[in-house]
Amino acid sequence: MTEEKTARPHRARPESLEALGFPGELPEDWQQRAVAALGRRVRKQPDLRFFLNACVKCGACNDACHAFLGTGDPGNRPVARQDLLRAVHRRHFTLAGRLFPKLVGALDLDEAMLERWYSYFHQCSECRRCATFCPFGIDTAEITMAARSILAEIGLGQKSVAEVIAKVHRTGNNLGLNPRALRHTLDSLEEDVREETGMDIRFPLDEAGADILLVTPSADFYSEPHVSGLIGYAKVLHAAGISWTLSSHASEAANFALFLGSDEHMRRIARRIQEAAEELGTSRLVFGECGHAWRVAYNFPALLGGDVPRPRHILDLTHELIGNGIIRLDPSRNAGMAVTLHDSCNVARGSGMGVHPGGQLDIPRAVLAAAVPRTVEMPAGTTGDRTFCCGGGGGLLTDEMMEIRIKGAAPRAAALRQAVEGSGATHMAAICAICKSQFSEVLPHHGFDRGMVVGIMQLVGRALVL
Amino acid sequence: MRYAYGDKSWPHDENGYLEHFESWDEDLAAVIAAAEDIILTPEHWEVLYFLRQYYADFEIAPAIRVLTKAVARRLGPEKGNEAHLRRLFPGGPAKQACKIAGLPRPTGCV
Amino acid sequence: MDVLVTAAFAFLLGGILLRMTVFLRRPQGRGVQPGLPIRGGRLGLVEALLFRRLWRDAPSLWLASMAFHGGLAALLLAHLNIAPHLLRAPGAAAMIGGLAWLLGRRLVLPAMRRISAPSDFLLLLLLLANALSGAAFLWLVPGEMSLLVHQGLGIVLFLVLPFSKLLHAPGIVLSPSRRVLHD
Ligand code: SF4
Ligand code: SF4
Repeated sequence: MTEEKTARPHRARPESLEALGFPGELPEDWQQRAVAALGRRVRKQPDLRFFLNACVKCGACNDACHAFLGTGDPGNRPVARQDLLRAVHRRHFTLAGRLFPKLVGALDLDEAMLERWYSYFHQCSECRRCATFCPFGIDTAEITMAARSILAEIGLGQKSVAEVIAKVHRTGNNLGLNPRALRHTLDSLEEDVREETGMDIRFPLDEAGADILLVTPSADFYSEPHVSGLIGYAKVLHAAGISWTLSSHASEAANFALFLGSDEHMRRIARRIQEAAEELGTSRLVFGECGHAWRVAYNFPALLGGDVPRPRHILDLTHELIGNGIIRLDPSRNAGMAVTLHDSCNVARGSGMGVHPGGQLDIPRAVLAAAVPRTVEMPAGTTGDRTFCCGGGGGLLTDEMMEIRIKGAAPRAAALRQAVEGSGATHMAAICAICKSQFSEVLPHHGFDRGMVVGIMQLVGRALVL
Repeated sequence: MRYAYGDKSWPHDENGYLEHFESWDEDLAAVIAAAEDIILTPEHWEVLYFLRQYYADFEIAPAIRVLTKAVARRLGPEKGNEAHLRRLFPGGPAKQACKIAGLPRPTGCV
Repeated sequence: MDVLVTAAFAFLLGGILLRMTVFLRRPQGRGVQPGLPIRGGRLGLVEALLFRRLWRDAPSLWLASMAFHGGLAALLLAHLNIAPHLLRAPGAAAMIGGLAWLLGRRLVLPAMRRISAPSDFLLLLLLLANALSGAAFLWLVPGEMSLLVHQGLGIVLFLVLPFSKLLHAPGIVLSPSRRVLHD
């Protein structure tokens, strides 16, 4: 493939793709293979077939995508992105496209098209905002996932996603943190928390028989503001007297195979978490603040089948503990803060939470409101099920995509500015490791301080009366 | 994709991270730092040596809190915080410092 | 000619049924819920047909689309001899007006031109030609010739429809992601 000026992530190396069972290089017959893979995918996934067929080119999704709004590149319009796959599908799988390709916008999968696939399907963060604008609910994220999985099958993977999936299979987490290093990190945290609170609050690892297995993104072990969130989980569970543990076998909530659109790897990564819970004999899986991980976890029953129960979100549990008075929060410990919530796309549009519809939007707000003196909302249409992606989702959180990430965050930054200038917001809370990392890095480019990005459980941890 | 100094050269990955942890030396650190617009001071070296020692022990970069605590021990408590690390390494202690220390790129949602 | 029209119409019905089967299979396989959360519970048929979100997001598009589809439905009924005198004039006005608007925005707005294939224009033109020729036969130049033109265009439309994107219709109720999450 030749270089092109549009943004594109680094290509995965042959060995990391081969480790996942994909070809390492573009094979001779890549065109046929890709078309065959598309055919298989469409047969297996009727909703994809629907998405490819039903578009009427009405343009209702035209201005829905943060990547388009931020870059101004018409190629980032959701329908333009879909059309890259749709055109090839038409060419090979519809009568009109076979007979009159020009007439119906059917195109061959040639090298130029492959270039566009690689670039534009890696500028989509799979956030589904566009799907809420489409009268038919056409979900570009599904199309992107399908396209990426086809690319992988012809040896074209994205470096960071491929490496991370291999790493999680090998070490149990995306960072590559081994059990000894993890234990060492947790010891250091116990020390910090003892210094801060004067109490022995534990960060248990691999403790069989605990009530809860907590699965959290490995970023929570690594950097701020993530780590403060982990401290929040530990404090809440400690205060509630719930026995819990982390697992070194499943020391990662994230599931990057969702980004790649590989069902096989997605199941494998999910199953490893379920196995860890079964091995440790914990009765309940609880997930920490991670957006796409929660989407996958919420769907465990459908994904893993059998009688696998639906895991619980840490915010849902915390909400219940606050509600029945088992823990108490003192918002004045977060004095001076006016916090607005950035709904993470995969939580807001890819899952639910608790027992009531819309819980994924209401529960985080309720917990946040209990933890801080004042909450404010960003403008309607930029939050809730219409939330803007942070710009770093879907595997885009890499250095070489920085320009796209900064631009893609522009719509969120504009909404945040309104909340800051109009309602005096001082902080923005997120409940996803990607959102937190992305915002910490790119908000300074939009004139905000990186320190204004916080997690809800971080604020809960500070407000908690121990 | 190589860093070069005199007649030495070191392969690095697409993002500028060293391929082979063991092949690092002080000359290389200076080369990478120069590419990142950083002039290495004794405080930088303290951080770099700690990162290398930790990686040699644990095969992974230390968590940022672990790093700041170590810095506090070595350079004094007023310097053991992320803000100070960020003054030393504006590109962030996790990424930029690791790169100059010859550690691989931290992966995942960080 | 009537026989031909009927045959073409039967072809259309068959085509629709055949393509419906694609969407009737319940989406399965991926396991990560395809549904999109739409607040307020299950997406009812009324909600599905009203496109409330589109109304809020793009009122002019909603209006044009409703006028066109409403007009089309009225004229279909009129063709089946159901209240023809009541339905014809308002149906034709709505359909022609709606189509003209849809075609106009596709031609004039650069963003719309960019996402359109030739067939997107041609289908709108074909529909418009059908409506206009019918109106011409009824009110402007009644006669054998006008009727033939209208019937001919109708046959073309019926033959083309099963191969076109105009079969988005079943998706209104069957769209996998328009089903709510908690179902
Ligand atoms: S899923 Fe999100 S990133 Fe992808 S096209 Fe839609 S709005 Fe844009
Ligand atoms: S809103 Fe839906 S039907 Fe309209 S152009 Fe976009 S994807 Fe196609």
